[in-house]
Amino acid sequence: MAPPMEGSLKEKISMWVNTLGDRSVKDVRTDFRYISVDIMSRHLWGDCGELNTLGSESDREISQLFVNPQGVYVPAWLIHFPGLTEFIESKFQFLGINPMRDIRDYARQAFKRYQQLPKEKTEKIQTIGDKLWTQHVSNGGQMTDDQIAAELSDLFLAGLDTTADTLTYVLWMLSKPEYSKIQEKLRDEVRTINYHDGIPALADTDKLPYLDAVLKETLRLFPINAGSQYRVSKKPVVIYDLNVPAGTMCDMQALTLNRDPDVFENPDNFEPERWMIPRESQRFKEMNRQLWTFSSGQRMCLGQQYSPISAVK
Amino acid sequence: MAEMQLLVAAVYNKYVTTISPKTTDADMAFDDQVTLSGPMV
Repeated sequence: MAPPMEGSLKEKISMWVNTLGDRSVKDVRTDFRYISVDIMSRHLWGDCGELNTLGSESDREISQLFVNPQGVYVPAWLIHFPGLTEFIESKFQFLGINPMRDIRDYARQAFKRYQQLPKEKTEKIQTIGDKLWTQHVSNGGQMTDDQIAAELSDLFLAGLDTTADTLTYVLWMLSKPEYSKIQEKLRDEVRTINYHDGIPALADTDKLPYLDAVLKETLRLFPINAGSQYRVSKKPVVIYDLNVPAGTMCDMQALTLNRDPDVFENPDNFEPERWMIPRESQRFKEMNRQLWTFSSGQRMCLGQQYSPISAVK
Repeated sequence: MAEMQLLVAAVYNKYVTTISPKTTDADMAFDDQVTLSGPMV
C-alpha cells in the first residue's frame, strides 16, 4: 500500500536534507529530480515500479531514463503537422527520436507487474496505477494497457520536471547576492514553525505567507511550460474584439501572461513582496488570475490537482 | 506544491545557500520556448 502523500514527501525530503553537511556543494537540479522520481514513482506504481534513487545506485541508473532522457524530441511546432511527426518518428528511429517511448516502456512494464499480482494483493494497493486499473478493459472499462501506460508516464513526467526545475529556480534566485535580504526574510519566517527530523508539517507550511509569495513569484518568472499552449474554439467567440471562428486553433504563453506589465509592475524583477497584499484585494485577485504557470480550465496542469494541498490559492 | 513548501522550509530552516562559483547565469538561462513553439499573432 502506498503511504499517504505527506508521509512520502517528508521521508524523501528528510533523506536528502540529512545528506547536506556544512559548506556542502550540491547539484540541486539533479538531486531535486531524484527526489521527484522517488515520490512520483511510489505514488504511481507502488511496489510494481517504485524507484529509490536517493538510496540505491542501481535505481539511480534506471532513473536516467527520466532524469536525463537520451534521444531527440521533435520540435514543438510539429504539433501543427501530425502526419509529418508520424513520418519522422517512424523513419528516423535510429536517431533515438521520441525518448517518451523508453519512459512509456517502463510504465508498461510496471503495469504488467501490477496485473500479475494476486487479487488479494491488488486490493490493498492505493496507487494511481491502481485507480486506473478499475478503468481497464478487463474490468469493463475502456482503457487498454498502452493507454494506461501513457497516462502514467504523462503524469510521471508532469510531476517531475515541473517541481524539480521550479525548486532549482527557487534556490537559485534566493542564493543570488542581490536577493540575500529575501533569503533572510524567508529564513526568519520558516523558523517560526516546528520541525521533526528536519521537516515541518505540511499544514504548518500552509501558514507561511512569505514562503507562499516566494514560490508564487518563482512560478511567475520561470513557468516550466512557458511556451504556447493550444486550444481550439468549439464555437465562434470574440476575444479582445477579434472574431474567432469555430475550429480555430489559438494559443497563449504562460511567459507572456506572467510578465504582462499591465498586471505585474516591474514584471522582470524578482519581487515576492508583490504577493504580500490582502488576498481579498482586487489587485491580488487580478495577479492570481493572470498567473498562468499551471494554465487554466479543463486542460490545466494535472500536477497542481495532484498535490494534496496547494500553496497557490 | 506540497513538495516545494516542505523542501524550501526544511532547507532555509537550517541553511544559508549561496551559488557555487561553478554555476553561471548562462547555466540557468531560461529557454522560453515561445519563439520555437509556433507563430505568435
